[in-house]
Amino acid sequence: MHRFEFEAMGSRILAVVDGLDRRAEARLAEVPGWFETWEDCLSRFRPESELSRLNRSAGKDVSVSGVLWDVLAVAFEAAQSTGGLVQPTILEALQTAGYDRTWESMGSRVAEGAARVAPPVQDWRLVERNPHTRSVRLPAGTSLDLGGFGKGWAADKAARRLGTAGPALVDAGGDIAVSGPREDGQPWPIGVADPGKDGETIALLSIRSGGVATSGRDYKRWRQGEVWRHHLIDPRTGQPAETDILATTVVAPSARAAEAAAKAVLILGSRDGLRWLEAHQRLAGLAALESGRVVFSRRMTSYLWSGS
Amino acid sequence: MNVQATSKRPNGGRASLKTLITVGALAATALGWLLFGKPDSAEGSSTAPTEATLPPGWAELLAPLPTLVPPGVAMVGPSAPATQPALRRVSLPAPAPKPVTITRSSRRK
Repeated sequence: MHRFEFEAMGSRILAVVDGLDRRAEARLAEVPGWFETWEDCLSRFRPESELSRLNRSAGKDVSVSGVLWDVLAVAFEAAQSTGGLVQPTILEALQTAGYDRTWESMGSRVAEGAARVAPPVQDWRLVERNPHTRSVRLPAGTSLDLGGFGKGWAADKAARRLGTAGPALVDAGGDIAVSGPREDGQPWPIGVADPGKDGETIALLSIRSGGVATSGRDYKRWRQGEVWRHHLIDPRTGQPAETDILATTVVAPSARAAEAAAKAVLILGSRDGLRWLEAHQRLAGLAALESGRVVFSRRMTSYLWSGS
Repeated sequence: MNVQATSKRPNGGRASLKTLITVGALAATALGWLLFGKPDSAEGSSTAPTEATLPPGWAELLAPLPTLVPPGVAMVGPSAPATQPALRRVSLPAPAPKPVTITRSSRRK
């Protein structure tokens, strides 16, 4: 098995190709370049990224690259499938909550100023997209954050590309895509971290295809004035979601679908989140609650490692 | 003198009787040895017990008591079970593999 690990998109990235084919090593060495290209396009923290330029051009038609166009499509598909619970038009709310710099530069984990109330989140349906000219027009006062969508999309894309060299897995900061079963036909064993205990896991999954993603407020949280904040915005309030879930993991047909679904479940909370999962045939998940309990959707049991 | 002479009985008759008894006893003993000292023959012996002549249930009572049997030696006798219990193939659950990676909320390390 060939592995390659590096940092990109503010996260640890792991790319794996199963088997002993020497060509896999050369293919893996290309992965950091792919991620650098994508981050350069999609990062909200790079002033000259394509996304930053689009955000500065609200009210105008802007032609965009194939990468930005594809990730925007992922984001709007997520908004459609979650009824707007997960959408890209939350950047202003995120910045108002204090997440206005890279996570690394928020070393003290304290945001400047007192807690502020965010303006209402702009309706994602007001963003205009023209597929013929591949151009986008943001309504005035609207800006986009594509962080999570970008990582899920990148994991899927990289796994598909690596899959030409052998069975592949790509983990982009917890958003994981696999190209298919391993070389021996077995599923990939993927652990689920315990958000309450460093270094421990709460489940072991066996994944043959598609993706897995975890969304949580266990790590990226900070204090703003006297209030604790986190990065998962509930568009209904414009504030960090108030939920009994500490972290949630979803299995889906792709990493990008899993990432959006995990966010939706966390925002909804354990009771409504599990109901929402049960209503979607191709999704399964678990939620680690603040109380320490772990709850599973019915279909999730078929992904738990059984040992047989 | 005469009285004394007439009160005594002759000793020869008593000795003869003792001899007769001794010889008779020896003869009876020899005859008994001849009759019962010979080994039983397979046929014609009506005193040897056989299964056919044992009362019902005795054969089981007289069978060897069940005890530890060395491996590979078949048990015989009425107490041997008609069918030996079959060995069941037991497969232990495979140990959980080490995960290739761990999903968690996004972070650098």
